[in-house]
Amino acid sequence: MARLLPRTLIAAGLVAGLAMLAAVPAGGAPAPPGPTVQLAPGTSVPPGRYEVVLRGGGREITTTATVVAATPSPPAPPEPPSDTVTPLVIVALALLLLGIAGYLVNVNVRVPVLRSRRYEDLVRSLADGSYPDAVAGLTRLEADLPRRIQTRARFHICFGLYQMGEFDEAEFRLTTLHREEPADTEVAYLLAYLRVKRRDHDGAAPVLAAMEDAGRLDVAHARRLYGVVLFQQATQAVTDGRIEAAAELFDHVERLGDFRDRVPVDLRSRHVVIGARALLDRDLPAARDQFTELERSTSDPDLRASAKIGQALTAWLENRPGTGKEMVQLLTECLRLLNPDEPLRRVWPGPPDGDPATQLEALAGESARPEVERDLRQTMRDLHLLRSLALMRLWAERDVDANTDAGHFVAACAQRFACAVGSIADPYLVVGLLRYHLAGGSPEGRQQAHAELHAAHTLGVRIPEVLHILREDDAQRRRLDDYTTFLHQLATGAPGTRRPGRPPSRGRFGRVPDQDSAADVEAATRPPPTVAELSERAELLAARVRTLGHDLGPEFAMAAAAAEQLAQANALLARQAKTVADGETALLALIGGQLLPDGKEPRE
Amino acid sequence: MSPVPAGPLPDPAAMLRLLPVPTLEVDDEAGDDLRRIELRRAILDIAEVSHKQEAEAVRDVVERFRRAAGR
Repeated sequence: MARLLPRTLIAAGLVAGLAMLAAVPAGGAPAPPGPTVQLAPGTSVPPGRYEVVLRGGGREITTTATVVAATPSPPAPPEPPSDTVTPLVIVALALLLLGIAGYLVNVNVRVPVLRSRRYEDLVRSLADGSYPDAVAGLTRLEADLPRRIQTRARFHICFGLYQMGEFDEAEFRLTTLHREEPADTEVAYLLAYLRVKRRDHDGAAPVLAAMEDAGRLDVAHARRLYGVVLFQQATQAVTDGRIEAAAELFDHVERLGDFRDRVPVDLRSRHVVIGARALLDRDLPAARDQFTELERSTSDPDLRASAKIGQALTAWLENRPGTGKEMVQLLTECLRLLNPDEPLRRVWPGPPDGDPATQLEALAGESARPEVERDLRQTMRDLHLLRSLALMRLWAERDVDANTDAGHFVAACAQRFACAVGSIADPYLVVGLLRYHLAGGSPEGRQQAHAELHAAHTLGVRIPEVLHILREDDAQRRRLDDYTTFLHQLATGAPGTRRPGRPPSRGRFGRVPDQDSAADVEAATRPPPTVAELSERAELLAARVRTLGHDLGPEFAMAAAAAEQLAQANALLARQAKTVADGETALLALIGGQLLPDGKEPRE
Repeated sequence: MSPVPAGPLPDPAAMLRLLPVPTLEVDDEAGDDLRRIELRRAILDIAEVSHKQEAEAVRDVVERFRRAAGR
């Protein structure tokens, strides 16, 4: 309106001026007309002054008249306006006024209305998703719009550009608009939203911070958007090692509220974050200070549990005499805080049955749980494992009573480690090794220990001790199998002889088919025994003879003597084999290099 | 035939409502960084509990038992 008024005034002044100009006569004020004397045709009077007598109506008037000499006539005076010209001027003036009025109406009323309608159509088409057309139209129209609408039009252009993926141009325009209209919260939100889309969280943060300062985080999803920005900044701070900054940012995320659940429990407190970093850096006094301060300052059960975890880990890493008891106590309190109903010992479940279907089912059931629940279960298992190890360390610190039953000790440990059983190998490894060393004397104990260590191996344990135990056990089983086969061969005849079986049946065409016995196949495919295998068999036979002992009756002495002879023969064979191997080595050392073709290196 | 009413003109706030609700997406690498400093997820790492260390702990216990049995 402020812009329209001066234009109207100027136009009105123009019209008034034109009207005044039109009303003024061109030659100035007209001279009053003098008396005229009409002479008779053909008469003339020389110039001069004459006495004139006028008679008529019974009256006679005497006066003087001057006849002017005929001189070159001066420029003819303008003709006075005649009565016929005046109406034309009025009509022209009216037409002019009408035209000016029409122009003014067009400029000040019709065109703005049309532009406003066009603007509204374009905004509606923008809302309907016709972004390119709407942006093009609004861009053409923007400069001609009133300022108030112009700002909105510029916002809509930016919105359309964003939707079209023209992020560079949209951000440039939005930045300018935001600078001009810092109080426009919709512009600010769109700018922040665009920057978040471009993962420019540092660019979005000040825009949203200003909105927060102005108390305008209620615009659209501004509070949530700010939460995203702060969370991402906190994550980046963690990656960069700026732990204190990360703690502060996570604290802000917590206050905003939208992503409170996404903030890891241990990152909710500056003490936990800094304490954890101190533990990782092995700065144990600093870690202890942080966790002690946290325990003193918070009543939140989760954070109190974190404080106890931190203190227990500090004690574990300090590993001073006497810290075992403190650790066990802290971890027990921590487990109670996290789940008061969780037992601290369970029946040892033994190794999994190895059925893939059952294991898959268990894994599927575990992965179907909510992430928070899965995390808590994993934390509890880790705490149980650490507590069980701490207990073991504590018991090992004390003097073991000579009367302590090893089997009971293993069972007590297994009950604690049972709480840590999950998808990790550690409980099976520790219990299996304990049982192998302390309770593996009996065949049952040894078998169970082997099963537990086998489970640990399946779950990823590859330490040499376990591999050695499992290999030793496998070798023992293989030797027993070989021994059984050997005995069977002795009982059924020499290898290569046919074993009694079904009588050969006639074939379809009356021909008796050849029938290879198992022994034939074995003789054809099995390589001759090695010296080591012969030696092992001899040891097995001797051991078996000793085990059977006097159960063999009168043949025991002969069997024992035969076994001794066999052992001696094998020992001789082993010595001879070693002599052969040494000779081979000496020969190779002497001429080995010349055995290769010229210029060729052995392949690796 | 009467013209279809155009409805209210969408204002900037209405336009902003057309945008998807912001979501928090933390990429895997950043998530790993978070987990690394999260105390609860790093209990066994911080305590340096490994299979080798567990086997050594078992050996200590076994050694004590054997010493006690030998007394």
